[in-house]
Amino acid sequence: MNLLPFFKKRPAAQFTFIFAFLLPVLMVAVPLVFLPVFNVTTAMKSAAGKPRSTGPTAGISAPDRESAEKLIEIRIEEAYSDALLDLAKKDSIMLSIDLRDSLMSMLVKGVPVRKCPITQFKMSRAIPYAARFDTLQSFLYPPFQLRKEWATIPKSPIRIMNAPKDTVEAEAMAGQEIPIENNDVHFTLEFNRNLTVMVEQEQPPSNTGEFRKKVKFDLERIFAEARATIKALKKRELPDHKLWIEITISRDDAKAIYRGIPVRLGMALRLPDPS
Amino acid sequence: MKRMFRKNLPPPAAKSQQEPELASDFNPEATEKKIGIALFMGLLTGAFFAFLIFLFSPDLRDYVYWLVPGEQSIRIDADADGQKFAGELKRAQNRLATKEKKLKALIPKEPYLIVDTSGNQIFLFNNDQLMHRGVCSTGSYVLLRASKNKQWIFRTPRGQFRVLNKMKRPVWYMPDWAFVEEGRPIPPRDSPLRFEAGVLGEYALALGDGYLIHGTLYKRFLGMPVTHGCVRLGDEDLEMVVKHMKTGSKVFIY
Repeated sequence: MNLLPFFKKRPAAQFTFIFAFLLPVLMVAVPLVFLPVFNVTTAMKSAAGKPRSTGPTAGISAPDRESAEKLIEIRIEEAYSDALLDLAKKDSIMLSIDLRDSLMSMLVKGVPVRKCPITQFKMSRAIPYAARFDTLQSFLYPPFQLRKEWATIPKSPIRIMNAPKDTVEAEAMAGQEIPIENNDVHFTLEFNRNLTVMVEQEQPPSNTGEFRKKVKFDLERIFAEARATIKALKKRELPDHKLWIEITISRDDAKAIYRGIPVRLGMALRLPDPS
Repeated sequence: MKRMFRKNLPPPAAKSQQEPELASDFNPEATEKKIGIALFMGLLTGAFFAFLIFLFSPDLRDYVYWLVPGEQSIRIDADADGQKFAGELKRAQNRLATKEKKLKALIPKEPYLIVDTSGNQIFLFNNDQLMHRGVCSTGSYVLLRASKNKQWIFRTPRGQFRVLNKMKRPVWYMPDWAFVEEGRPIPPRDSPLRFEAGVLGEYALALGDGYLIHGTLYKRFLGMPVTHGCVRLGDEDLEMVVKHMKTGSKVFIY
């Protein structure tokens, strides 16, 4: 239906349409999109502006920009090393996401047991924004703790078998084929401090069924976030501004990492070079 | 005078032509209806876009950063003590170097084994250098149900382990589940039926809690998740592992 002729040479109708259009849009966009970002940026600025004596997250006053940036970089590296050392002491299996060297690693007691090359990554613009403030160190350390995870594959591929009644039945059961898993792997890890890590497999969807699974998986994420927004609004609070990182690795690596990580997982994050 | 005024007036015919047009423009009912339609259409389109914004608000928030002015917390102060700052930079660099050394020290100096239960592979390392790579079989994730209260799950445990014991020509002590799985009656704990020689290969390395790294008769299953929790290796891989791993060597399973 072409509506343009209706509005042609009718300024009153045009104005009314624009006003009526903007009203619901702004009513949703301001509290859900603009204000949460405003809150985060204000918090970052005020934390960075504290006097130096308040600790490692305080503002820097340096003789020149180059040395100040170097100090921030060292502090970020220090936060990553501290997180790894902490996890090696406390946890058995841990995760390291090194965006500088494009490597996602699983470590057991500090020993890397699986190193997965990251072929591609994207991240929330809030992270490079935070990198301009030396408050980033307090975001990176202590290590992140896993809160929730969901994936397109089960965590443990458990098969239930009822015990055979006799040796004849046992022999028949022994002849059964072992199922071979060939599922596409996508998973999301939700950490504390509002960080979400989305891991995607490098390979395209293997068949229609798997593509449908991926669409369902993405929709689940969108609806989960919508539910969180509604929950926050019910409490008369602004929704949290989530920081996210999307990582692409091979299917085998994604499967090994998802199956290997425990439910109580600690993670150390190394951010890419700000330049 | 009266005549002149009359001359300036528009001709009566033209006036009568304009009147109906003006009347339609100022029709209050029609105008109200049109504004009502515009209001309804605007609200409807706006509500649709508002719903989309609600759904995708987490992604949209990211684009707001384009509007945020570029600021930095670094305060460049010409009066700042350059030497003092250089000292702080040096101290931070030293701290970082110490921490990196500590991290490197976590890697075992002697050979260690990594078992990948997801891909059913083993990696033998020496001082962070890969020495050997092979295939293995690990836990099948089968949940064997004997009764309501009796069930076993066959999975390989994960984490850091140590080789507690190295055995040559090991004899398998068959647990209860081995009989249940074969549909046989469970013999007493000290029954000779419980002992079976030759099924674990030439060597076995004990990891604790009954879990072993051992050889196998079923070589065609190597690379598949078929075991009851132990790590099965082929003859060559087993020999390589036994040769390099000592009692106390670390085994990492994920």
